[in-house]
Amino acid sequence: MSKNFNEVLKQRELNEKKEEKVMSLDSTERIKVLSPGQLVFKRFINNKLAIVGSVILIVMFLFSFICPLIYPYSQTQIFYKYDDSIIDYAQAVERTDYVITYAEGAEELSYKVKNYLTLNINSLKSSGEKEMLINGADGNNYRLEANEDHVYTLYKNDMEKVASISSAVKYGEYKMLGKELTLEAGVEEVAGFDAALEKAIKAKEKEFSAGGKSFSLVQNKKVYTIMLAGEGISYEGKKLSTEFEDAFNANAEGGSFEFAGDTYRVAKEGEDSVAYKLGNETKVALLTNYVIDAVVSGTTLSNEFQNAAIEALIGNKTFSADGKNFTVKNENGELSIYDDDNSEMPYSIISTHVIRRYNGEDTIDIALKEKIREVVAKMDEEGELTSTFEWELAQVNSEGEYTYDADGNLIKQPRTFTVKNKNGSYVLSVAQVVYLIDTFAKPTAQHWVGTDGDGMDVLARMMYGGRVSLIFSFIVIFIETFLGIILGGVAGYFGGWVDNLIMRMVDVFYCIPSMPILIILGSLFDALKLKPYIRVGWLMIVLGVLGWAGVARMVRGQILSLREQEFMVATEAVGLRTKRRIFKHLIPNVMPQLIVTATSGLGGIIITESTLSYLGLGVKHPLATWGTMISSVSSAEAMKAYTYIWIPVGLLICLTVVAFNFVGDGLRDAFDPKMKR
Amino acid sequence: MANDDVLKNVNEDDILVVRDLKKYFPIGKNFFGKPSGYVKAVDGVSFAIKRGTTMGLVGESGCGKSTTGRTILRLQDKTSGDVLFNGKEVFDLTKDELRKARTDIQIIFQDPFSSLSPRLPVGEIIGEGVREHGIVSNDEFDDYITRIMKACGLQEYHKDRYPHEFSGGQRQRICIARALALNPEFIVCDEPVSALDVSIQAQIINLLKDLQKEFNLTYLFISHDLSVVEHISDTVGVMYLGNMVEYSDTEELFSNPLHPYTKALFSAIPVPDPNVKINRIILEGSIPSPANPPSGCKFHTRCSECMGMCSKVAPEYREIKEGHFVACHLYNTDEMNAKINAEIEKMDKEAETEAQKADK
Repeated sequence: MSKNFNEVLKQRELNEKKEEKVMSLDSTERIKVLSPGQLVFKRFINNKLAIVGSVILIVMFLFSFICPLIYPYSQTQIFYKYDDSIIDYAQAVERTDYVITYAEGAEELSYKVKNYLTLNINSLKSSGEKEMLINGADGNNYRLEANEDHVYTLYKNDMEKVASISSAVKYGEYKMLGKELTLEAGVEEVAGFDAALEKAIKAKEKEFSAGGKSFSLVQNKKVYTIMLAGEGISYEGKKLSTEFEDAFNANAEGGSFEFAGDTYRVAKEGEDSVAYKLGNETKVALLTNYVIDAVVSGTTLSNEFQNAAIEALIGNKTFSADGKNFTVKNENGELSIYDDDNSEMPYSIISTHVIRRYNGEDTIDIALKEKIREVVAKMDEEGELTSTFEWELAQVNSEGEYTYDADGNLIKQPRTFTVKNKNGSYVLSVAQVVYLIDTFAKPTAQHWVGTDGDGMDVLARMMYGGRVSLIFSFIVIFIETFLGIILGGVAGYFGGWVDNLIMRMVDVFYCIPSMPILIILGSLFDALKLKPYIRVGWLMIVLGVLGWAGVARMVRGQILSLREQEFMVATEAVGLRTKRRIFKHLIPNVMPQLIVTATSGLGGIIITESTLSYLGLGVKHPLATWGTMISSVSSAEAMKAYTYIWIPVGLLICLTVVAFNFVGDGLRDAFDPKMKR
Repeated sequence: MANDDVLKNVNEDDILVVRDLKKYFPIGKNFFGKPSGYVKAVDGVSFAIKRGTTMGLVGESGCGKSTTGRTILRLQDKTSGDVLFNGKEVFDLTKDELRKARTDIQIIFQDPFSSLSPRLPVGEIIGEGVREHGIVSNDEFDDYITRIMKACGLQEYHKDRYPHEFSGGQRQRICIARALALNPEFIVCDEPVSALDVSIQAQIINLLKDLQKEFNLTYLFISHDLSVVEHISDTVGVMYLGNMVEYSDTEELFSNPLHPYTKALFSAIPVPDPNVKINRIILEGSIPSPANPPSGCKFHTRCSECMGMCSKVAPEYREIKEGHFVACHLYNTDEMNAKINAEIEKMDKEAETEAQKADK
């Protein structure tokens, strides 16, 4: 070719330029031409819904990313409040076990005896007797003496069993039906018994004798039980005089008598009465269920003091311990111990009720203890189950501290105690100011949307939750779209076996049920105890990898149809490089669909994330997301009660998803040059 | 086929030489992935185009005109034959060489609506090839595009507009500008005006003619519109079912068509005078399937002057007059006829003996 195009055209231009050109008013050249970007933007802002969506999204982003910077609370900050709360304050229980105080020089009791002591004391108490004899299982004999209502002394006594009166024993049975006689095993056969028995039954006599022994009959329907009467006094050793027998018989039901300078005691052992000759006695121990409380709280009472006090209680009422002298006084049935040097107020008081704080501290002052004992005693007496009384208690203020008046005394407030009898233990409950987590607080000036079940500020959590939800959805969509474009583009552009392979992969990914996978992964993450942030990261990757198939299929379809278009043939004819053909011709033509898919997908991912978090598989506490926030009030009752939590959060989810869809639609219309508005 | 004598006068003046070009498309695939048959879209086409001239290629829809055009550009692979451009085999070029050679051969597509990328502004569509091949320096780029556009009847402010904002005629101008911008020597015009209305057609045709004069371009002008072809072409080839049936100078062909198919085509040209009566030759039936073409002369099924031998022996494509080639038994010499008849007799005998064998 002789001439280059460019030169020919330049020449032509030079010739033309000589003519001055005047543009007419309606010349099309005067039309202002917008750049492609401007055109898209202009179309976008002409779309009202798109503008609404954008505004919502901008607000959402400001709310999620900027507001937390100026908002005073963090997402995991827990709020507390001081409030009256009925708490179980203290418990008053009657002491039922007896404390053993060994006498000087006494050996410790064998557990065989110890274990039965409380039982023995109770039976002594119920019998109304002053003393009882105990055949100790350790082989020794003991005498238990009641000193006071709650104080017992145990003596060891070298007793000797002298004689016993045995009562009737079962001899045999006689059945009318078949006239069958059965004798108890090991009884002595008596001559003429059968005849005497028949005679007695015929005569309907209750007693009869045979062979010098007397029998009695007890009829039970058609069966007679034959009892052999006791044989009177039987001696262990040598027989004693009738005087002894008379005295024994007189006291057969228990008691003691003097005979020949010795003291005998009769004890019932089963049906038999046994007479013992008392021997030397040694004091073993004092038993008591009294509790001794110091009046001045915090004073520890030594063992020496306690033992001495109990000794004195049954003795001369005065004792000395820890280098001080004390006196036990009984004032209107209440026992108190006074320090002899200070008789104005009691040093300690003695009672049978243990009064304990539930929180383990012993800060009940003695006056309250006495009041409690009084009330409890009254309830015991009258058989009441509940009772109330007024008392003044110190309360903490809103800073959690006790307040003092000018003189340095605690300021007390009147409170009502409720006492309840629960199986013998008295439980006192009272309203106290307590430091509480401020859960489910209604919206206030401090917490605009209230607090949630963990006492965290809902508004703060909404902001941080939005952050997580938005970042989450963007990253997931990015992963999805990236994988989708690469794989779909490769499949569509190159075709053949590559296309086949990738599309089969897509089919496989379409077949994977994502929910079960996510549920399994959720429990796997739980088992691995992943940190919330790492867990979120993994979740994003998994969702992205599960979601690329749809994008890839769409991109491939688009590219397949575009590849056959004449303009793609034209690019080949023009001799463009493959890279340019893909990025300048294919991708821009796929872009609108891609943007719409991605933007609508953003909303979808927010919903997925919320759903997963709601099911407890996604983002975990304490990281806030909108899903977890709703799931925290997911029961029907909670939903009814805490509308101020889930309605704002649900609204946020709803608005964000709708906004994403609006913007996606707006972008699609704006990108589509054929769209005319 | 004795196509070689068609190209016996080929010299350096011929920018493009096509020798016995065949393009078969496989149809259907059996279980093992082998095609069960072929569509013989181009079945042995030979021609040469002189530099600075226009060759018209006419024929019914589906006769293989466009396939010929596209195969010449190597937009698709050939089945056999040669395409020599400036004496070089196009199909022997490596990928890189081919990409560079693209500047020399360009194509204008039939449909101006689908041949422009909807997402690129016109300036970019025209200019991307220029930039790719470095036709002009970067400083001159904008001016160059403007000049090309003006040469094609477009305005400078059209640069930033998108194809959808243009009418069909303007779009075709854009296509022409895109082809022209690469500074080509040879342009395949694949029915460039068939999608346009008549007034625009004239504009585009005149534009093409002007550009040819100015830049010494060579065109392969594919069309089924004979009037347009007559107007623009220097030589014309007539194709039927993948074969070239007649080829000659435009004047010679239009004044003295030889092939019955060409005659039928020409008789269909409308005459803008209602009083003129023409003895039109109406072709019956439709074009046979190129997958299963008729035996002998492919046209014999629709030919009004069909003879006995037509259905049996394919006619030879030969030069009847100086520069006038035709493939029809009507123009056989006696010598040839005798040879053909002898051949037919032989074939009949063979068929008979075979039939007897089969009977036995």
